[in-house]
Parts: sequence; C-alpha cells; structure tokens
Amino acid sequence: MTVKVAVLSGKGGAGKTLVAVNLASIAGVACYVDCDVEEPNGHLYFRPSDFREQVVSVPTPVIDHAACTGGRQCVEFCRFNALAYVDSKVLVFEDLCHSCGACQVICPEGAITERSRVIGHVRSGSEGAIAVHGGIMLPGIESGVPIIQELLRISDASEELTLIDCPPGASCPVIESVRGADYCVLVAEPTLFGAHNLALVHELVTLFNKPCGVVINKSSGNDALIDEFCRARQVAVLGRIPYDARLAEWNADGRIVAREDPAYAGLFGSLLEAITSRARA
Amino acid sequence: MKIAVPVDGNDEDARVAASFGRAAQFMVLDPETGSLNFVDNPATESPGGAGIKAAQAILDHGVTVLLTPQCGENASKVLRAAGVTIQRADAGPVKEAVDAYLRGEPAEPVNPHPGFQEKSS
Repeated sequence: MTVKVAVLSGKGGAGKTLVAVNLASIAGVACYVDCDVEEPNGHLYFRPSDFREQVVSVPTPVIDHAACTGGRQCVEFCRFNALAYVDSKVLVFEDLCHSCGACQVICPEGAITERSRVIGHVRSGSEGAIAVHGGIMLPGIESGVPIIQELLRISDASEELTLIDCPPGASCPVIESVRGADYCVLVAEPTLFGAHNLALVHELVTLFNKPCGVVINKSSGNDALIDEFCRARQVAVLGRIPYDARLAEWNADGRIVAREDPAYAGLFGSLLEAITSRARA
Repeated sequence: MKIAVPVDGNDEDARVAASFGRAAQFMVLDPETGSLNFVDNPATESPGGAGIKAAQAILDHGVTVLLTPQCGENASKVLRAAGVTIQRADAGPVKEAVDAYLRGEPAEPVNPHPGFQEKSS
C-alpha cells in the first residue's frame, strides 16, 4: 500500500529537505516530491540526469469588449477582486486571478473566454528507484499553488512511499502540499522560534485531521521547549537529529547524510520505520 | 468634480486613513453642490485585491479626484484608466486635506506601492 508522508516545519531552514531526502534515500524505492516551487533544492541531492520538463499554465479570462454589455456580473462575483469595470471595459488583474472560471460561467453574454497563461514548470526524473519530482515558478508569478497541484497529480500515480517536501510557512502552498498526505512529519528546531513555528504547523495539520509526529533537528541535548509542547499536545517525538557541523557541510555539498555516515543511515532508518508504522496504523 | 478621501470615521471630524484599499470609509464631497457623503469601503476585509475593489467603489460614486496618503499599483491602474486624479493627502483631519486641495496647494504625486496582499493566498 502506498503511503504519502508530508514533511513540513513552518520556518525555513529547519530541516524539511534534510529529512525528506534522507527518508527517500533510506527507503531506496520511493517517490520524492519537492513542493517548494519558489526555491526548489531537492534535485540537488538526487541529481537526476533524466529530468523531463513540462510547462504548467493556468486559464485566465479574456474579455470580448464588443460582446460585453456592462452588466458587471463578473466583477461583482469575483471573490478575488481580480476584475474591475472602468470606462465601459472589464479590466483583468491576472496576478489576482485564481482561475476558478466563475466569470466565464456567470457572464450572460458569453463575452468571457479563457486563454492559457504559463506560470512555471514541473520536472520529473529519477535516481535509481527513487522518482524525483519538482517544479519552479516563473519570476514575477504570484502563486505557485497550481504548480504544486500538478506535481501532486503527477506523483499520485506512484505506488511507492511518497515523501512530500513542503514549502516553508503555513499558508496556501503548504495547505495544498499536505492536503492529500496520510501522515505529517513536523520538523522543529529546539528554540523558542522553532517551538512557535511548530505550534503553527501543528495547528494546521490538526485542522486537516492529519496524524502527525515531530522530528527535532539540531538537537544539542536540551530539547525541553519542543518536548513540553509535544507532551502537552500528545504528539510523538519520532526522532532527534543531533546538532552536527558535518551535516551542514554535507548538505551544502549536496550530499545525502545517510550515505555519508552509517550512524545517520541508522537514524533515518529508525525514523522511516517509526513514520511508516504510524502512517499505516 | 467629486473628491474622495479615505477616512477613519463617518463625520466631518474624521481623519485621513493611512491606507486607501483598507480604509473604513471614504468621504465623498462635491465642492460645487456642497453634497457630502460617507461611504463604507466594501473592501476593508478583503483577503486580497482590496485596492481594486475600493477603487471600483469610489468610481461607482462618480469620484474624479482621490486624495490619499498612499495608493497601491492595482488601485492606481483602475483609477487612472477612469481618468481619476490621484493626489497626495497628508495624515491629519480630512477637512484640512480637502481645504488644502481646494486652495490649490501644490501636492506631491502619489507613487503607487506594490501592495500589501499576502502572496500565494
């Protein structure tokens, strides 16, 4: 049975990619999906040589000004305020459009059609038996959510353990990334800032009724802030990754730490087991 | 001529609001007829695109001059397409801002800012 595991953290730099990449590597047969389409970096670890790129585009309204009679139903209906009616013309603000298509449906004159607007790319390749998917937004594009949706649509066909490396934050792109997950891994640093961000993402996954567990990264012996939170919320601490300067070096070099030191292979192996047994439960 | 000013209250003692798109109200004044209205801003609580919605609202009230401390790029695009004059108003009582404009005091142009909406929402 395929299991989808989302890895998220709130703040950036907490270790989402470290955890997701190493879990995929230890699993050996896996599907790794980098949903950070603003600053993708998962492919730097797997270095797939067979990356195939596909364009992602979204429908955007086009107004036939000759057919428009100025009823303004589209302007009134658009909940994203992407349309305005000025000087007998409908103005379209593409950056605000969420491509819902409602304007086209509601126009009684049939004056609205759609065109495709390219917003970015998705890329798929592999390293051995690990499928690697990622995407990137074009500069200036406001929302990467449609690219994340396309990535998850593509990777949904996978029969293997799927690791969803979420974007930082706790807003729409993260919500989209965790929506289809069976289990969420919350990566937290044992600092006040880390604990605050853990609370944010914990609230988010709880809202979506996702089972979750915590991985403490950069642990230097005093994880009390995170341990207390987990105790209070009854969330399992699945593992602790020590504060280790070598991890930073290997990471900066695009190396997968579980392949560099058997101790880390052991650590991520146990973590994988803890996660998959809980996700299947 | 119809003048609109974003304000934080609905009487003549109101002060100029800091933002255009999310101001609580607009004072709409016609100096020729002396008509004075306070109009609720329908965009105050909009998650995004507040400037566009607010601009549409004042256009629908027939406004031709906007006095505001700030104006976003999108609102500015809507208002300029309609030929609305956008001029800078300083923070303070709305009366003073309108009087200064009517006396023809030179004001700086408003440089549209890129907006406040959350990305990717």
